[in-house]
Amino acid sequence: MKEAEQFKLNPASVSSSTWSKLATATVARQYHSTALLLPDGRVWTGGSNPNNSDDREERMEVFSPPYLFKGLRPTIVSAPDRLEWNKDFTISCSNPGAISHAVLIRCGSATHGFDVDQRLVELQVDSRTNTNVVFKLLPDRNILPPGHYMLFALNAAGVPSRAVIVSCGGSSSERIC
Amino acid sequence: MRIENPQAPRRKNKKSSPGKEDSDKLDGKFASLVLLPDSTILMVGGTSAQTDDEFKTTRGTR
Repeated sequence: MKEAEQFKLNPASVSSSTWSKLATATVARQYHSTALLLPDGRVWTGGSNPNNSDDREERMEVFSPPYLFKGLRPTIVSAPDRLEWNKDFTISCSNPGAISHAVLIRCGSATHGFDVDQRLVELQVDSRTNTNVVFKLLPDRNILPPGHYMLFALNAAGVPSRAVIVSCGGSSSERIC
Repeated sequence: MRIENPQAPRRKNKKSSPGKEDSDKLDGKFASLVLLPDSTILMVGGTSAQTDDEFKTTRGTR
């Protein structure tokens, strides 16, 4: 089976969460394969050790999730390079009224098929102007450790912008560069 | 996971090198999980054990 599958969690009723089959990959992949979320919202897959062989799979594929086919995407015009815990930050975007929330996703660091450092932190809108949206960064460095993240702004349909890479950390000594 | 013949002997790599995992152990369904911006989880890139025929079909003769 090479179909991608998507898990949608229903927090109100975990047992009613769903798995859905999506598009089918061309290449079969096993160990030493990798999948990474790209800043443009697509997912890159590559690698694999084919069975009974020391060959390496050299073909790559790029998967486009369903949210890329749901209409116009929000656009982040500008965002801070660095975010600090428990402080507001402002992004400039094309249509602030359409932004429902934002997410920070840890930049990928997969190896051997696993990325144990994956995390997604959702940020709620604090306020808006005609050109900007203000968010407040969480205060908890255990939930949001220092380092680099992809910042996506999303609309109510769940369509993400292209990401802006930002770093999180209270001081330069706590940042991982 | 699809197991066509659980009693069949497992194939061995033609050669191995220090630090290289034995891919014979990895004949189950395998996939990568990716968090997506819409807060869903994508399982992608996986497959059940790839047979020689599948390999030839997708990549050609070794």
